[in-house]
Amino acid sequence: MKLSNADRDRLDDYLMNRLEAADRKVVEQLIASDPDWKEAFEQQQLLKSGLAQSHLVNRLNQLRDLEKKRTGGGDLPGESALKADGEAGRPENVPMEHEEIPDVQALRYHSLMQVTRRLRGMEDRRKSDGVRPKGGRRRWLWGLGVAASVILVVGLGLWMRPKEPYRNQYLLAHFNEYVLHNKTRSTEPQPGPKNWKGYDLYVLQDFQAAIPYLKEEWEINRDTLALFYLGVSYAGVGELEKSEKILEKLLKLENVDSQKLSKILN
Amino acid sequence: MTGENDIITRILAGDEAVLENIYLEQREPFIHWIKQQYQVPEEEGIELFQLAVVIFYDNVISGKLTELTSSIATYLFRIGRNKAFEYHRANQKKHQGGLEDTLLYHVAEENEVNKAEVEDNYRIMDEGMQQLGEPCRGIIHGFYVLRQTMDELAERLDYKNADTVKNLKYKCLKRLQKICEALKAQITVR
Repeated sequence: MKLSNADRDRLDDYLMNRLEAADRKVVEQLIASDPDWKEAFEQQQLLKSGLAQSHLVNRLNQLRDLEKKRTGGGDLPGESALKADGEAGRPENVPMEHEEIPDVQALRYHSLMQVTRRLRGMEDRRKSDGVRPKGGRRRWLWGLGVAASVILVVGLGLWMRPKEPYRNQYLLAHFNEYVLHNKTRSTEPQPGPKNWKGYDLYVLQDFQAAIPYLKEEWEINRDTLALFYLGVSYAGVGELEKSEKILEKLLKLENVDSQKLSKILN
Repeated sequence: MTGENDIITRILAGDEAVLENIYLEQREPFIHWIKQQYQVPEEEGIELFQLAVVIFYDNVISGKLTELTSSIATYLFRIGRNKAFEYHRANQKKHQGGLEDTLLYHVAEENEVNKAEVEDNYRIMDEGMQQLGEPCRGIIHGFYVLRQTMDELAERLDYKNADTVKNLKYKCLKRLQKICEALKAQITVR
């Protein structure tokens, strides 16, 4: 005698781990003591542990026999009978005596393959829609960012780099003509500034350093040569406007060769 | 971002959109990571990502993963790391179908059986279920894979009651058996 519908359901639940502990024990006892239960259980165990090809063929042959033996319903109803319509239920002529439990692991594999196919479909749609992979866009943006950073750094570097010192070519070529004091020092008192430092720095063509001393010398001591040197020094560092103003002052002073200064300003 | 707390519940309830969301959200970081980690080309990175998502799905439906203790990204990375070698080996061996082969191996290994023994069965069942179509596929998948009860299936698939689904399940199984039988016969003839 085969298992009843209710027993099939119980075995189903047992194999799917849906039974409470007490019910599980009852089923286990039935499997151990009842040959029909044992057979049904072993069939499922074979399925679960994976049937070899011959086993599957045998099982399918058994199923084929079972189909032939079925009365009333005979074969599967049409597709429409599979659809729920509110009144759907098992037709009376469709027996349920020998429901086989499918290979759950094979169903699991199918389920995974279904997901795989869906994911592949998504991937294919991405490609056919011409969706640029996010990674690609990100790489492109990253590249753009790097390029912008490089440009910024190079620009800042150029902007912040030490500027080439201004070079007044004429002055440098004719500088000796612009040293008008006696560079030879003597222990004897000689005419000259009260503070030689501006003059000395000027002779060394360190105009930037010389400017404050020369300015002081002019403002305190009214040393016109210091004023001349100051004008030259301004021209030497590229501050031509200041140099021109000094030139205007020098034009009013007869003892200074203002023409000499105007040469380096042109 | 997909609410990570209810991902498992949604998958078990048969919500198919949740995997698509995970796919879209995690795709780029995963592929970027796996390419860096294993120096694999883009196409292989995509396949490994798909494999990781599928294994994640399997861990949920098989009851192995009941709660996410890390982020979904971390979980996928972990799977990727574990499966990368297996995939690479399958890919090299067969030159194609590395993903299918890795999944076959994965299910067989979990079930403690030899892959060669179950390979035909699994492929036949896969093809059979595809031919079966809806609503049968949803019912069988829901009952046996997602372990949903008849009541849950009736509610999800909008049937009148659990008995209706139970009867449909019976008919569907018969139909599936027929399809598988025919497929098996085709293989035997060859």
